[in-house]
Amino acid sequence: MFEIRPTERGFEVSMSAELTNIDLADRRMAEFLDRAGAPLDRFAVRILLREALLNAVTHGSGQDPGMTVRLTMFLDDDGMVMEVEDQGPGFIWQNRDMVFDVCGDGGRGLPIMQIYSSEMTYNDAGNRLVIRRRYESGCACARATGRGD
Amino acid sequence: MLQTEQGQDVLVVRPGVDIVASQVEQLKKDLQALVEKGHVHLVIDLEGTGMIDSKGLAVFMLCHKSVSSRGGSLKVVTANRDFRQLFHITRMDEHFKVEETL
Repeated sequence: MFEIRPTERGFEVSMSAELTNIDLADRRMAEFLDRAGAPLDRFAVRILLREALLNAVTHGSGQDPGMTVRLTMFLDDDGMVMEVEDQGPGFIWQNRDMVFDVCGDGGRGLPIMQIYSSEMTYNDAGNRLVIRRRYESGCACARATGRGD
Repeated sequence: MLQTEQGQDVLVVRPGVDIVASQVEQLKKDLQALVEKGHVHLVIDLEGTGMIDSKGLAVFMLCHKSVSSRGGSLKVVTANRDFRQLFHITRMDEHFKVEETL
């Protein structure tokens, strides 16, 4: 299941918790950004979308196609806002360390989102994530890591 | 199916697809098969790859560990500046080479 609806300044997606739907959402977002012509770092927005949906599909929903993941994305005066919500129980994000094991098999998703976003907020339960990426914020990586080019 | 090209001392591998969650399981198997055949000096050329995510990064690290444990090496080649920056900010370029050209 993959349903997309345009909104006043963006779009909304309801999708079953399947990995291939992340690819579909990414393509639809690229089309939307092409039409909107917004001054956003395309790669940053794409990886933010992918990592947010990946967490919701895998950790939040256990890749259960019977579960639904919702994505809302819109542009406002400051930049792009995306909200991703799953039907899972959430997680204790307050205790999650944003430092990851470089050699590990996982744990990179949250730090990547933190690096590429301007702001990132979970609800208390940890199953709804709101990400903002401001216009012309290409230096966010350097600020967050001190490792910019 | 991976496209491969035998160099003088290395095998150049071109996945030619996005290295993202929906694709990584096949890539992981294909790379492991190459390593088990004795190809332990690998260059992964990202020409034709349009996107990488965290699941994709994990495959590069797995491949690095696999070839390193057999005395080999991994190098990633990509002209895509965003990809090189992603390898840099996740500090993966401290473990294997990430270069712009072959």
